[in-house]
Order: sequence, then C-alpha cells, then structure tokens
Amino acid sequence: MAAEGNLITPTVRLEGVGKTYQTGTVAVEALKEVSLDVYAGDYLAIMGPSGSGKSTLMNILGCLDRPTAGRYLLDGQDVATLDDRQLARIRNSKLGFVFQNFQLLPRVDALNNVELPMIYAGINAKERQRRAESALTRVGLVERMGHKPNELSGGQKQRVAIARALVNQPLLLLADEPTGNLDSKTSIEIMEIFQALNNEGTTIIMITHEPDIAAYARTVVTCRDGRITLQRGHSE
Amino acid sequence: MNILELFKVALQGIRVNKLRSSLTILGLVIGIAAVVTVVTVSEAGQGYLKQQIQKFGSTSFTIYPRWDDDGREIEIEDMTMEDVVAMKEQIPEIAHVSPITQFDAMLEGKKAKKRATITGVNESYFSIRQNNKMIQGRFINNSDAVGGRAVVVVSKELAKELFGHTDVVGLTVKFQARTVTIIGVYQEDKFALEQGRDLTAYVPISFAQYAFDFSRIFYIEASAENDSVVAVATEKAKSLLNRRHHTQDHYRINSIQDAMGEMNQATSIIAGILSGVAAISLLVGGIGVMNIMLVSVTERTREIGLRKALGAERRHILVQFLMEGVVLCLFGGTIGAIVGIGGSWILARAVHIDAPISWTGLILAFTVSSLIGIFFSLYPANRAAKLDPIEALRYE
Repeated sequence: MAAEGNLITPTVRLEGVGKTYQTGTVAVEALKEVSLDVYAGDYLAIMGPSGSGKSTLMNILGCLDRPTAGRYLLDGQDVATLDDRQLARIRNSKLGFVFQNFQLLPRVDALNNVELPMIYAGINAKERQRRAESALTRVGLVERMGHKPNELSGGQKQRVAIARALVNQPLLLLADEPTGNLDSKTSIEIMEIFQALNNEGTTIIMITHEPDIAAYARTVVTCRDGRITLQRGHSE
Repeated sequence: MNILELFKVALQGIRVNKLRSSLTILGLVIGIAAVVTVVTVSEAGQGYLKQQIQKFGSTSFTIYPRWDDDGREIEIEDMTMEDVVAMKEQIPEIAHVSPITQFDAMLEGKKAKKRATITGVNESYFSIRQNNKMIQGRFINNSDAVGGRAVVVVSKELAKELFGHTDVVGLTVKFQARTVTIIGVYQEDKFALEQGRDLTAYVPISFAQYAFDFSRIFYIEASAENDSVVAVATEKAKSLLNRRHHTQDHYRINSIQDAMGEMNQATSIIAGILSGVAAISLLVGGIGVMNIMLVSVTERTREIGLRKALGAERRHILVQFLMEGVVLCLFGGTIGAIVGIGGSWILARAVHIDAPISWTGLILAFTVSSLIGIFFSLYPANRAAKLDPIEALRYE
C-alpha cells in the first residue's frame, strides 16, 4: 500500500482521495485522505459497514464519480483530467463491473447481455459473438447463452454478469457485493470463479461486508468513516 | 455503434410494451392517414378536373354580353354573325369560333314526341367542345351552316327517345312544323357527377334563326390556338367586340383556364383546411409519443445507468431513445400511409374517380412522422442521456 517510488505503474493509485457531498448546507465527507495502490494481479477486498464510504470509493474507482480531493490514477492516468466521454471510454475498455443485483437487461438473452459492452466498443457482430461465447465458456455458462435472465438462477445471472465484465479484457474487475444476493453455496461458486480469474492474472477489487467472502482476496482493507485501513495482506 | 445496432435496440424497446406502443402510434396513424388521404384525394380531384376540363377543350372560352344585377343584359346590343366572322379573321390567336343560340322545342320522331334543347351552332362547334363525339353520321358542315339547311344532329339519348334506337341517320323529325333530316348522332362525355339524360340536338344556327324567326346570338364560343395564347385571344376578342359595337367593357369572357384556376383554388382551400385538421391530430399524436417516451425513460432508468457504466456515452443513450421514438413514429407513419391509401381508394370509388397513389402524400407521411419522432423524443432522450449513472443504477 501507498508505495512510493515504485517503478512499476500501479493499475490503481489513489493519492489522498477525498469525496465531499454537499447536501443543502451540510457537507458530508464520505471519503477522507484515502491512499491505495493496486497492482496488476492483485485481488483486493474492501470491507466495511454500510455508510462507511465503501460505495463512494467503488464509484470513484469505477470512474462513475470524481474525487473532490486528491488524485486517482488509473493505469497511470489522472482521471480528473478526463471529460465524460473519455470516462465512458475508460469504463468501457479498462473496467469491468459486477453488481450485487446483477444488472442484466431483462429482455435479451445471456449472449446479448455479454455483448453489450462490446457494442459500445464498436466491435462487429461476428467478433462480438465469438468473444461473448468464449467469455461465457470461461464462466461455464455457454450452454445457457440463449436464455433470458428470468430463466437463469441467481448464480447463473451473476456468472453472465462476470462474463460481461470480462469481454473487453479490462485492466480491473470491480465487484460490488457480488454475492450479496446469493446463497452461500452459490457464493462459493462465484468466489471460485473470481479466484480462477485472479490466478489467470485478472486484477480484482471487490466490496463485501462478509468476512468469509473477503477471505478469498489476497488483500483486505476495511473502510470506516471514510478512511481505510489495511486488515490483511501485503504492504510494500 | 452503427445504425443497424441502434435500430435493433430501438425495436427491443418497442417490443417490450406492444400494447402501449400500439396505442401510442394510433394517434399518429390517424394523423398520417388523414394527411395521405387529403393529399391523395385532392391530387386525384385536381387531376380529374383537369382531365374533364381538357375534354371540353382547355383553350375554349365563351363570350357574353354583360348582365346587370337582375340578370338582364345591360343593353340590348346583339352580337352578330359578322362579329363571329371578324373574330375569326382578325384574331390570329383564335382557332375556332361558333355563335350560339339555344331554345327548347318539341321534336317528333317515329316513336315519340319529346321536348329537347336545340342549340344553333356553326360547323366549328365540335372543334371547340371536344367532349362531344360523333357516333353516327356527321356533324354540321360549312354548307349546312351557310345554306341554313334543315338538318339536325341529335344526341344518342334523344335518338333513343324519338325512335327507340340510334340508327337514325337519314330519318326525319318534325320540328316547328318543319321536317328536319337527321345527319348525325353524337354522344357527350360528361362530368361523372352530372346526372340526367341528355335530350339535346344541334342545328345550323342559320336554320335556327330562320325557324324561330329570331336573329340573336346568345353567346359566342371560341377556342384559342393553344393554351399559352388563351389570355391574348380573350383580350383581343373583348376589344374587337367593344370596338365593333362602340361599347366599353360590355363583354364578359369565361374561359376554361379561369374556371380551372378557380376550381384549383377551391380544392386547395379545402385541402388546406383538411391538412390543418390532420396537423392537429399529428400534434396530438406527437405529444402522445413524447409522453410514452418519458415513461419509457423513467422505467428504464436502471438500464440507462447500466449502459453508462458499461461505457455508453451520452450520445449513445440520446440516439438510442431518439431512434426508438423515430421507429415508433415510422411504424405509425407506415400504417397510417396504408390506411390513407385504402381510405382514399374507397373515397375515390364512392365518387367514381381514379385515385392513383400519391407519392407526395407518401413522402410527406414518412418525412413528417420521422420529424415528429425526432422532435417529440428529443426531450425524453436528452433527459435519459443526462442521467447520472450512479443514481440511475440505484433506481428502484
């Protein structure tokens, strides 16, 4: 964490990041002075109770929100310098999202859901299908690719979402309570997929409030009152 | 993202709520159908009028003495046979001239006696009124006209009434105690809307004047050499007559061209009013589209958030919803165009005219419905594009 002078560019570098929300006359400081480095191949879990600022942190990491203080370097690039359009492209090409409630389009089948990020990347239909099928194969769901979300179980839905997060070969997989809506058996299956992906080199940052889920990560930090502290794992 | 992808996404959006989408486009269907019908029918009507008028001879015109408000002639100053000759000789733009007198009289044939309208004309009359066609024998010729011969050309209907058949050339009829020989049978091609049987006959005007002991010419019919000299010919005819009769502005001219202009104006006004009604229904339809697009954006807030999180830019979302509105409206436009074509076909059949498919109407239908789609989806689409992805993803 907070490695100074490291020669390798970290995938994620937060330097004293803060986020203050202005609600009426009251300013709420959701994040305070958060510094964090995540390198390629890391698997970081962020734990913390609700309201601790972990969602805010996730939004900033996901380039959905901008910090009000400090700097966020994604792959060496300061996201504060980017406009909305460039941020959209970063989200599309460098980040993969997995949400607690899956966030699949209900009207289209699994294959089409997985293709979605590639549509915005401007990839042609044939290549999209090839890559979507290969991503679904990776999560073990290729035989269900013609099914719509309401025909899939929770675990299967989340696997579709993981496949969707992977299709554009992101630098970083961001998972926000990925097992929050799943039973413990299915949660373990999802965690096994994460573990396999991480072993293959995928960098993962995951939010969870369950210690047994966080246990799968190489590094665990806890978030409390807008600050993070290292819980377990390596610190350079 | 290419246009085909956007089209597919738009179709998905529309298919989710088939009933709602159908109801939304109903307003547009009605509006577009009305526009297409109005345009098709007014085009067909104008085409029909033009065709009918051309049958009468688009270059023809009629010259009358002016009447006062009570319908009487201001001054009894008869037009004469010499006027007719002078018009023909002195106005090069005039192709044919015929004097006209008209009376009702009893004709007696082998089968029956019938009251008919007798028109005295010269040999040029059928060259002016081209809607008359000879079906038997011949029309009055120059020597009939000059010699005042007791000959008559009867309409098909009159021949049937008087003799029971139309094979009457060479037969005679009794008329004003005289025996008149039938030299021809003709048929008048009338306006389809005209009703009634046509008991008419033509005699040489010289004979009519002699038989009725009456020398007046009621009016003069003439035709110009071609469409472009009708105005010149009528002006010259007026001034010639005024000069010959030492009058000022005493003659009135009705030309087919003027009549055509007036009818076109009348049909344009009607079409204009109907278009206004159609425009209102399109506006109402458009508001319906806007309303439903706003609902659609709200319902799909999370989808919008997700798309943004996955890398959709503002313009992608904007175009997605615009496209959805446009596709919706084009559906409305297509169905409306079909209904409009069907409607005008039925209307046209009801009044016995041809209504060819109006390309103007169809192009108008598709342009207007696309424009409505864009215009009324712009606000909802822009609202979707501006959504904050974090808020949108959290939307329940």
